[in-house]
Amino acid sequence: MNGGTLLALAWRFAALSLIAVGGANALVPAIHAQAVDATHWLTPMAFTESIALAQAAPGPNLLLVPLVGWHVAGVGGAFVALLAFVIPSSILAVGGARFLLARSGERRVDALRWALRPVGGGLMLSSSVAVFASAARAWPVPHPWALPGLGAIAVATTLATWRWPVNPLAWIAIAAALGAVVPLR
Amino acid sequence: MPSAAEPSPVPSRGAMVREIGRLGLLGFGGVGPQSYHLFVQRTRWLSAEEFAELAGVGQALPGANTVNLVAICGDRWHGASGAVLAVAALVVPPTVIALVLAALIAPFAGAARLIAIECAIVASCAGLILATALRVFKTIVRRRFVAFAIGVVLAAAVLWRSADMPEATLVAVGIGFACESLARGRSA
Repeated sequence: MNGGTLLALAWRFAALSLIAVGGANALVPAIHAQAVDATHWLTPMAFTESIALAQAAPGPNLLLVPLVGWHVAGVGGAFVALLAFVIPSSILAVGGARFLLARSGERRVDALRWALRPVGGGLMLSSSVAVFASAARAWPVPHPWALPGLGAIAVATTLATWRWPVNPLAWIAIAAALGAVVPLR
Repeated sequence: MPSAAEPSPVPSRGAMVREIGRLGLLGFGGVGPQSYHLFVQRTRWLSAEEFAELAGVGQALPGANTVNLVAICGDRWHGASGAVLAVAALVVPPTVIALVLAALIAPFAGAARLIAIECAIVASCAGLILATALRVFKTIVRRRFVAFAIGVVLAAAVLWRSADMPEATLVAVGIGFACESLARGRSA
């Protein structure tokens, strides 16, 4: 770990934090582009592992961020990435809330609030595809049924979440159990 | 118990840190659904209307949704230091747990069975995120088709060139703002 790496981590995650419309889950393609493609901080496999762990551990969706930082520069890297990701967007949220709530009903303000929603939805759509691609690429043994199987898990989770709004951990646990028993050869 | 007409009580800093810390550790796959239960039903620190308004602003602005929500609440109750305490209470304990888990499974990294389990979890996450995205579009009442078109084009652009996501995001916000301003101007 060195100061330059920590500074690069802080800078990249601070910038990402300010475009994370739709939350941390909307950022997966951008984090992949930064941490895997541009800097080679993580292998694609380590990235997939981090997504799985971030989702399986308790807590907010942003756990992917400190896990990437941990792969780059250990515990210090994890907290640098976390703080860089949380501080700028929190300042913007507090300021933005004071501003937007005070001017609710003004045409421009309401138009901006409208415009931010499809952007969040669109970024989540792209994340969903990127997250799926990362699972498909990482599957350990080549098999003609691997891709359709993972696709079936994804579609079934979408439909189940839509139909029964229970704790999503239930669907994640079922998926993990399937991964634990499926034959690998 | 405060009635609906009375203003919501302001929690002490200690109670706020304790309850938000609990929230961070209870939630799996994101803590959004649990935050409604905590703020509105369990502690009654926010009315249902206040929650909808603050959570809506937190979701619209960039950053993790629940982090934004607790930052806004902390600021409302105890100013800037309240926002710092609330955010720290939410994110630090889960981060410590995730790092311990990462260190525990690190020796097994690369084992085929572990990778298979992780891939299945990640595929399931893709489905969860897709469902959340669809819910966002479902909650857009006015001009939903325009919103969906903007979202799909943005998603395609981000997947095509993910390094240019900041620019694509800003352009999409601008287009949405222009469309909505024009539509409102015409109907006004």
